[in-house]
Amino acid sequence: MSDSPKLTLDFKGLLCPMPVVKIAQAIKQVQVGELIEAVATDPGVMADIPAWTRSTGHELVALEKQDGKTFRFVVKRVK
Amino acid sequence: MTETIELALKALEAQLNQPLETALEACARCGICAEACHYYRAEPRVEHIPAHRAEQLRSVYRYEHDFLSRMFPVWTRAEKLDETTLANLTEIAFSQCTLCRRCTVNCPLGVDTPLMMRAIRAMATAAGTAPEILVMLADAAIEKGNDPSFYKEMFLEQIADMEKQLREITGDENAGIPVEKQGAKILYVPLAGAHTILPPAVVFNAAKEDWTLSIFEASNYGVFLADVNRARQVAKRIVDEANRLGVKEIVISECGHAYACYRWDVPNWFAGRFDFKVRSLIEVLAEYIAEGKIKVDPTGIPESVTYHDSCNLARNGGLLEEPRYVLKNIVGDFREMTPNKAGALSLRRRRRDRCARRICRTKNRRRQTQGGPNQKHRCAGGRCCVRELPPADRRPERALQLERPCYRTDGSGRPRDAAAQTPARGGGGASFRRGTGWNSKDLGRV
Amino acid sequence: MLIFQLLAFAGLAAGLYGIYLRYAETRRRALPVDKSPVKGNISHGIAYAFTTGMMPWAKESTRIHLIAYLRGIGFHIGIFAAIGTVILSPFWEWFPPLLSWTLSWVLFLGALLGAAGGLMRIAEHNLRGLSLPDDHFAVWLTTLFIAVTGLGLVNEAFVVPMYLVGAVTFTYVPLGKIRHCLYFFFSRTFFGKFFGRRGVFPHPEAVQ
Repeated sequence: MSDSPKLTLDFKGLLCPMPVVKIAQAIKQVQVGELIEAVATDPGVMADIPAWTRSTGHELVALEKQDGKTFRFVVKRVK
Repeated sequence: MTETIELALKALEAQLNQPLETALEACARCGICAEACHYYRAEPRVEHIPAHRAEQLRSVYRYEHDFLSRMFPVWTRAEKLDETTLANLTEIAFSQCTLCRRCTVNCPLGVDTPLMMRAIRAMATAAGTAPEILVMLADAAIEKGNDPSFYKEMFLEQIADMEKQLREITGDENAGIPVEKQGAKILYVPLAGAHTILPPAVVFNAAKEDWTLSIFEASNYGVFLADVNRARQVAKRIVDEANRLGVKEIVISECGHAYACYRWDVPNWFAGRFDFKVRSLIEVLAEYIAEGKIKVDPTGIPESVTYHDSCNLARNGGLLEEPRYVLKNIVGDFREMTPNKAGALSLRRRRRDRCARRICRTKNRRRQTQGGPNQKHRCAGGRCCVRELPPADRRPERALQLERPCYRTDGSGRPRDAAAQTPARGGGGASFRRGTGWNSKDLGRV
Repeated sequence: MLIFQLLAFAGLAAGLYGIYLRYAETRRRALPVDKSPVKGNISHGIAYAFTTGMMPWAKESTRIHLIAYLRGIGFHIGIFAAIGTVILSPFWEWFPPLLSWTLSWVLFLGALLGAAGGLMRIAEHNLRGLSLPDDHFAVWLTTLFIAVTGLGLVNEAFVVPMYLVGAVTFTYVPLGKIRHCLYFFFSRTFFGKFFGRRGVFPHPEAVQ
């Protein structure tokens, strides 16, 4: 297990629900315990990504607004 | 029989009511529905004929219910449901039909093929073969309803940012985006994202509307799954919010399927607990213009513009004149397409899908061959179409025109304030049912 | 002769009873009650579904396939004329010659159009792909029924075949695809209810 993300993804310009769709696809590409980092511009991710991790059981390691326009989040595959 | 098949058949039986049995029995396989289907138009193959799609479910139904088919399955190509057939049915219902009802309207018998496709979707959902991502999105939405506190603070922060932008755009220091306003008249339900919050906020403020913004989004992935249980849970969030705030009306953003869900399905799921009027934002806009609550510039958009109806708003919702009324009031040169109602947006297909791309090319060709006016999509699903458009039409300025049917943006990407447009159009209560040039005969081209 | 006539009527009775059983079975199923507020007019929708909505110019599909649609209408007129002719067979001798003559031509034309439909199902790629053995059988059986009824009307030698083919056709109605004659009414009613309720059909003419 490493603290650095295994995958770094760019969801800029994607609108809801595409960030969730993309992260759900990407999570299958990493092993349990590995991290995915993503950056999005759709503010909807601030609600959708936590909701997705809650309903799927994965861990939301970080979620932050970066410069007023982009949102960064880090998700850990749990199962 | 495996558990999967048992669950699928049980779901079919549970849904087998009069309209579904009728749809399963009525088809004469005349094939006249072929050209009504966008998939067929894009790729003219027998498999893309709506009747052929429906036959795949009928063969399963016949095997279970038809005397002659049980005796001589070959006679009616009756088939016992197995994993392969279920996988094929799932593919057909989720990836080869947009439930636009264009085939139903064009069928001499009025066979409701989308009803059968919904039945398959429900079977697949019950059996666990439905697209995982839709299940995931529905469950995430339900999770938001269970405990909104985990994102509410962030949401309110974003709205505060949007309020700043709103004030910049309108130049009105008092302009606001009220959230959870007790006793407001309208509960406006957006899609997630600023593009369906900020432009309507401009209009609501200009019209001095007593409104409040929902903390939930209008999309309902339970509806896509034809999973009434999940769909109810997703909708319950907004039903509860509307009841809690005591609003009179729910206004749904541009999303066609969300409008269909709250306007036509939710009253059935929450009978006795749902006395709200449900309108699409487009109806509200038409009313504001007709009643003079907002003033718009009739030459605000100088380019020629045409309108591509959304299946959920038009064919399945009767919203034909309102969008045209709005467009004619803000567009200098509005032209109808012939045929003017291409229908089936919401192409929920994989982006790389050849067929979906061809569908959009077909639509695009139709548009281009008629003088090439800019096209306005009415439903959020249209964004799916936009993604499938050829790169030339995905240019940002074109995409904005496609995605934001009623709000033009200037170069900065900010919506123009409809109220700031001049001169005033003499609305004064004129009914938007009048003079919009819509001709019911055109619906035959649906 | 009488025995064959009785056989045809027995077939008719069996067919009607089978259709009634189908009707009763479908009616036993749940009928969902729509509680969403009505936008249009349900009864106008149903009226539209059975009248103007059936006109050849009302739909894109029937405009594209105008000939095929008119062929189908002619074929169906032939079918109903043939059923009426067989039912009225005890009274043929009182038919005015003009009626017999007209009826037989309607039947011949119906049979011709039926045969055209049968051939289209074999020759046309899409229709061939869609058609079940049941469809091929039904269209040729019905065509034969119309044809021998027309012949029976003008030539006594064909009366017995007419009764025999009639008995088979009537009996087959509830068993195979011909039962769409019952579901046509269900389907158009639901169509009218759905689109009428939602204010889609009939849509009021816009005032210019």
